[in-house]
Amino acid sequence: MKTIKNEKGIAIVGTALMIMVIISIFILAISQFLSQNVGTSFQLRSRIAGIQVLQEFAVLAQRANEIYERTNSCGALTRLPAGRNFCWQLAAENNGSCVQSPLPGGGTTPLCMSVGNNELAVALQTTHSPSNFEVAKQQIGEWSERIAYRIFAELGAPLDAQENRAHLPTMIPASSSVDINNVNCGVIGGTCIRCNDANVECIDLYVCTNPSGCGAFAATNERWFRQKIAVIQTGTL
Amino acid sequence: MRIQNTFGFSLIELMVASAIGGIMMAVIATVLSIAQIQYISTRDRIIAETRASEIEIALKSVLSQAVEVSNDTAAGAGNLAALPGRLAANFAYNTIAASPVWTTIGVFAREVRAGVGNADPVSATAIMQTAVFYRRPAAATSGVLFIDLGNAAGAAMVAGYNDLYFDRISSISMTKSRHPTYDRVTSVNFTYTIRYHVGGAQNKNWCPAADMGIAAGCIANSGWRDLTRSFSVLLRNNLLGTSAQSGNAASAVSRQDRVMGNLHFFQPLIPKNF
Repeated sequence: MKTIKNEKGIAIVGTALMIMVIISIFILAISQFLSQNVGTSFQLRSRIAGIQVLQEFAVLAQRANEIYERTNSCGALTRLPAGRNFCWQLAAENNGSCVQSPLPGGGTTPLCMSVGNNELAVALQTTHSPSNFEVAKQQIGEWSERIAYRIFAELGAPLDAQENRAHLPTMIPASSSVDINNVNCGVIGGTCIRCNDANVECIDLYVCTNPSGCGAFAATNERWFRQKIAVIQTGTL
Repeated sequence: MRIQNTFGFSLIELMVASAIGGIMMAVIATVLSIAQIQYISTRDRIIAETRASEIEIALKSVLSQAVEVSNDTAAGAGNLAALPGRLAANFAYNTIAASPVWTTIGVFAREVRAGVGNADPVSATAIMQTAVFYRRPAAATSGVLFIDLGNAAGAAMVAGYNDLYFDRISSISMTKSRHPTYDRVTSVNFTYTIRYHVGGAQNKNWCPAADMGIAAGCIANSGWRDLTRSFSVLLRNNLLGTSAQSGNAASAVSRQDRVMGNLHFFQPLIPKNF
């Protein structure tokens, strides 16, 4: 019997190459899909975190307002904007318009504020990477709590009041004892709170959850996560 | 005449070569098939993860803006005739049921003003009707959550694919927390499972896990997995109660308390992308 002398065949090598090409194509496809969805997933998580962080900040503003409501003054704290009913402890950064960060090691940038049109804008930008997003969120929450603790401590507020308000959603909220306009709106009624009503203070909150930054915060900058809140005055506590 | 050409292949050679070629093709086809199945399974898992997060975002966004939600259990269907809105009684839809296939999870009003700039509009579009519906799964169709964001004209609140909708749900449950004093909802807990398929399942099965191997069409080993997600929504804008201005019950001025006390949240402006 005649033996096959052709040693130039590509049977094994060719098959191996084809398998490698097929696997490579699928790996490439799944990695592209994965890459797109990791980005989407991060955006979704950051939106959830943004809502939570701004809610924490809203409580911080609520406390800053409550400090003023207690004594109709800010004591050693700073009333900002001038004439509005919020008391803050400011840091030296940015010409003294930032709330001091009590976190050790400078893990977060200071909470900076600027005065807008009859409102207060607060901006926070985290520099944490996506992989540490949960850590950043936790630190922001902790930061908010520590700021509140320090503010209360400055004014000698009872500790049990702080404890009661320490965590959401179990905190005991401040109760309003003042009158506000009760304007009905919407096709099915409902109360519209308005920032220019008597006994209502409003504050704009901004947070950037993008690790690569959002640029200067402004109403027209849609990279910032924005939340406006109304603080109904509590009256004399 | 004898054939002198000795460079051709014999029948045996051709048969061996064909056999080797066939084996190689079979190996390639197998690898291709396995790679394809892995790709589809991984993609399905990723889509399920994304869907789970989208549902959380959507429900948190609308429920956290709800302004007046009673703890009454009758959610009712269709339009919200008058405030307060309502959520359904606590439920756990973790099996297939002939009835009800459709259920209304809630009909309520929500704050939609962002309060940008100095404008603080009080208009017919300030408080919008909102409805959340759920279509329970069948063997061949997944459960779907619909969120009707309403409109100013007060059109009928019905589930449809022009609403926000989220499919791939195999089970969902909801429990409400009531305010200790007022008959209002303070928070809502959701737990749900998102189905994805593995192993290149040809006939995708959407039966809840409890029905597998029991209900008709629910094949026990049909290559499925469930992703479980739980979260809680604080109804932070929910108005607990109002009291008339002291000494003037007829006044359009009142004292108001909400779930977070004296805080009212306007509609957040969420970046669409980075």
